[in-house]
Amino acid sequence: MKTGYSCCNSISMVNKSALCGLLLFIASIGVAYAAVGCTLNDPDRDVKRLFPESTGYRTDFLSIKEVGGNALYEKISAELGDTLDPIYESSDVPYSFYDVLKGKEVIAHIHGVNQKGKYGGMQLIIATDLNGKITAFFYQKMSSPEAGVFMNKQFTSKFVGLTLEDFLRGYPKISDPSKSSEYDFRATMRGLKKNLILLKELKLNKIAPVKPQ
Amino acid sequence: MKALGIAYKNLFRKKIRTSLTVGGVAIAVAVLVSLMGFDAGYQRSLNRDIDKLGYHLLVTAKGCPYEAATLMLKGGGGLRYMEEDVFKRISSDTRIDKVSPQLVASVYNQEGGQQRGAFALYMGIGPSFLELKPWVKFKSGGWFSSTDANEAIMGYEAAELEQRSVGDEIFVPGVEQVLKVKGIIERTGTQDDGMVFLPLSTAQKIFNLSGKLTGIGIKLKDVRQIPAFEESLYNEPGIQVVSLAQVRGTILNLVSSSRAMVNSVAMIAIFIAIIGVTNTVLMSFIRRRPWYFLGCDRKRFDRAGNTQRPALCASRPARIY
Repeated sequence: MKTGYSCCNSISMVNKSALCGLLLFIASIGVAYAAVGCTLNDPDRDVKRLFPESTGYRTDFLSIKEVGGNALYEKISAELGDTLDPIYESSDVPYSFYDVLKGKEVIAHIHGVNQKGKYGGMQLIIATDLNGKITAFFYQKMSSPEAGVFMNKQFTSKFVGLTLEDFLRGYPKISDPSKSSEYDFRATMRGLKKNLILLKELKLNKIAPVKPQ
Repeated sequence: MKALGIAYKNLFRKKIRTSLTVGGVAIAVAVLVSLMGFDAGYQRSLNRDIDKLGYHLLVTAKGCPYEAATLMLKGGGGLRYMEEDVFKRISSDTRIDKVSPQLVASVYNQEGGQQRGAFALYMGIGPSFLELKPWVKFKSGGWFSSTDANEAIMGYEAAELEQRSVGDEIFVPGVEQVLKVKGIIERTGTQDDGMVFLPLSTAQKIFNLSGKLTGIGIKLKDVRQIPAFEESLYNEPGIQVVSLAQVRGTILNLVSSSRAMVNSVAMIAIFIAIIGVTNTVLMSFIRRRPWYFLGCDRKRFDRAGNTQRPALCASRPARIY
């Protein structure tokens, strides 16, 4: 029976040592985190999963600064009903918008935002129809002892069908699924509202509204 | 020289051919320059990353790196540990300038990403870590309040991704531990930017690795002592010593095959460009002075018909210049 070390029998000790150091070196490089913008980790897979009928997608990177400057920043902050974090929600954060294509026709939008949670950053991704109605919502990333409860489809599916108006009228009547993570629940609601406002202000307002079918 | 003059004039007569040739040469030069730039940049970046590790030698536990790599890729921890006593023995050596024990622990976070988990690495360090890396500055906050505090220092990018500020909390999945952010390090341009650091004792406690280390970084007073120092550690059981020169060499060896391929592509591009230029020059010349190329004089060439011309000049050596 081979031992766990048998694979190295033909390798000289020097090389073994160097490779081990190399492994540690590469392992430590491997944890380097991505930039602060919230993009889909695997857009090809995610777009197809959310919209099986889609044939492709295109991506727009837009920041509040380039679309409407300080005035828009103030407007978004007012609509959100909360101050935007000057470091992590500054006006030059590049937001990525995915236009889902079926042939040449845009059939939906996907957009994600970062939101500060209790124990780490959350990445909240929504898919909407052309009028901004949520058709799917998922957490791309979340750090919390109760992350599993939040990421469960039973909870995320409750947001399907909601629009920005539902959030502007006061937060939708969806109950906190966690036992002791109210902060993360409120952060989720804030993040989704921010997501829908940004979608409206940076993307939908530039496109003629589509009549619901 | 006459031939070159003709070729030069012809450059302006056949503009499309000339522009295609110039374009080909430009692309070949661009490919060569960019590939050489990539190669030089890669080596510079590698050297900088290794230098910024801050130590000359890394002592690790003995084990097969391939096995560890496989385990890590498969989702296991994969790291091997050595006893902390080794650090105590080594650190008393008078040849050592600075020495820093480290404990790296990997945690697989199933909920870190949609439909697939992600690895997070945490590094337990002692105060000597900053002595090895004097360029590390705090963007906000500072060092741990005690050697076993449930606190973390975050690299710049880690803090940015997790949207953490000093005083916030972070959650370590797997071990279900909450840590308070005590400091955030300024961007260093190294792997430290994405790392979460803990006090060594805290890391040993929460990852259930009491008395264990994954590595010891050593900086010697005199770099000329590296071989002798390495030699002296060969008798220490259960460890292996890696000099960063070795790591540098191994990485460069690993990428040498791809470098060779890239260089081959560059050489092919240059070769094609040379052929293109030669072809343009020759074609220009032959078109204007075909009798010269065949070694005839112009009168005889003009008198001869198309079928007779090769035979006319067959016995005379062709000349180009």
